[in-house]
Amino acid sequence: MGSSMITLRNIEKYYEHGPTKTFVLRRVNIEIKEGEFVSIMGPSGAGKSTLLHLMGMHDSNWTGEYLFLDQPVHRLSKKDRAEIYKKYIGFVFQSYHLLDDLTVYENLDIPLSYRNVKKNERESIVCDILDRFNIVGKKDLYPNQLSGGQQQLVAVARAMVANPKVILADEPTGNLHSNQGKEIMEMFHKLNTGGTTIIQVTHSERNAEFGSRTIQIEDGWITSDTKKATTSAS
Amino acid sequence: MARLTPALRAVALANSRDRGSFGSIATNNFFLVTALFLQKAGAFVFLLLGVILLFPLSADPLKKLPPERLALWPLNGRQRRLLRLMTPWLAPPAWIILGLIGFAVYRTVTIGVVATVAAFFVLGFLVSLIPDTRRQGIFRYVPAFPGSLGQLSRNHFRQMLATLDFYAALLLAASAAIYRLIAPRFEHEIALAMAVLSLLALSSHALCLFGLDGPQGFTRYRLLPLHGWRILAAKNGAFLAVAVLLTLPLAPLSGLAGGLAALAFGNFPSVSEPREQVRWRFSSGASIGLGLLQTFAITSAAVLTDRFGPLILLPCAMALAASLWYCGRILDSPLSAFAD
Repeated sequence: MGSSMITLRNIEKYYEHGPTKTFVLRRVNIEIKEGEFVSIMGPSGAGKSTLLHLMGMHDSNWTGEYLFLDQPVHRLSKKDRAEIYKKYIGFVFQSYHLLDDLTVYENLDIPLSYRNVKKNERESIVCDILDRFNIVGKKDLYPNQLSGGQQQLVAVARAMVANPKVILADEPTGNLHSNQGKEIMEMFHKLNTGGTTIIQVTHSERNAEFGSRTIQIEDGWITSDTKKATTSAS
Repeated sequence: MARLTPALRAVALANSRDRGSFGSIATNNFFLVTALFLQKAGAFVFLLLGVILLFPLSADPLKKLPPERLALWPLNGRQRRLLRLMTPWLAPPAWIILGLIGFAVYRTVTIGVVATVAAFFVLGFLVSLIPDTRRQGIFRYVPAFPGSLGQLSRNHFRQMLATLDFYAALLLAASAAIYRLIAPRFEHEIALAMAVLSLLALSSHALCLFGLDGPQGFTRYRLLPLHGWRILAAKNGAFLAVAVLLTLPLAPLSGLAGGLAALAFGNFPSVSEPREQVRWRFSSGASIGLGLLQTFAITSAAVLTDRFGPLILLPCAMALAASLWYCGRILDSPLSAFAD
């Protein structure tokens, strides 16, 4: 396993309702190394997605220390956080979040365009990713012309197109039937084998089996953190 | 017939629910301005709105139900053919045509009018039979916009092509442009008035820029690693491109000024109270008051630019920049919660 990618120290997040505070995350301490495949599990409302979005820098209202590749995220400006996000992080959402009026090709082009990659280079990268994900034949279709599984595959391809170091996936198979879900998880396993760090939030034990480490969270507290000796992908 | 009646009732119910979405016109700037200010002089505009509305209203009523659902209904071949023949009568234009035929018999309406309305109905019906995917395919030809936000602007440009506002503005601008070409004398004031009317037809869309992005669209944009003002700028760029393209043969500078004013007023309601819109309907504005204010701003900007020249573009651009800055901050504010 590589060097430390994400280090969270004493992270807390709460909402204030008048004089009372409702904690969503309590004294979270996690270290995730490069190349790990981590599954975050727990009941609904436990704080899993909040933790994931915090790692993905979508959320800035929290306290504690967050180091991303040794850079202190907690001290960075919004602009610098966005730069780190653009450079190192790919996000996969449960509801795909593809833009409905752009084709598959154009959806994959978006993360590269706002990273100011030149047009020629973008074309070759998008073609390469279409090929890797076996979706060349779908490149001119709109999201509503694809099945849920295909849309999620495009969403994973979109997350991968800028070659991120880590993929954060929030219930990536939540809207899919089991076969489609398995296909997505196999893709994650393949990407992880290629060196990409994967952190997923899931309710599914079967999906967690694909990972090398499982973090349990309940009522905002980390209740267990177990590592597997070897990764299985069945 | 016993099996056919519930099937017909289900199609009628689906269609009557869908017709509710046509109510969006009630808070559309173009409709409001025509009703409040043009009154009798607005007959041409009402005719135009009627023609545009005729197309979605003429859509095949059977298309409102998913084909998989229709296939499950326990109907035999004869009953399915009967359903096919009866359902077009659930479309309101079919009854309008029948009424017009009645008037034609008493010679209060000419056969030509009946034939024209019938032709529009048939055309609308036939177009609705083309699968959505093929119709959407035409939008693929929208070219990429330059710059790092080009794809986001292209996405919004395509969304605008799926609103009736665009076609109302297009019809107004195109008819004025054609008239300008063929008329021996074309007053400059007419060009300006038609440019302003075209902008007003588009303006309600500027009040709901996230309306066609779906229920999760607003969140989806906010999760992009882009500043809020840039996301809005991408959408504003597409709107301005449409506004300038449509007013190009009439009064392009006034068109640009009016477009800037429309967006300066539209960005705030777009981000503070994003309202979902329906494709192939008129956009619904935020409130009548805001719609009238926006209308006043568009008209003033366009007329002042026409009178005093491009210098007026400066305050319009500054107003838009201020609205981008302020509304961008609203988009940048943290999301309240993430579902676990």
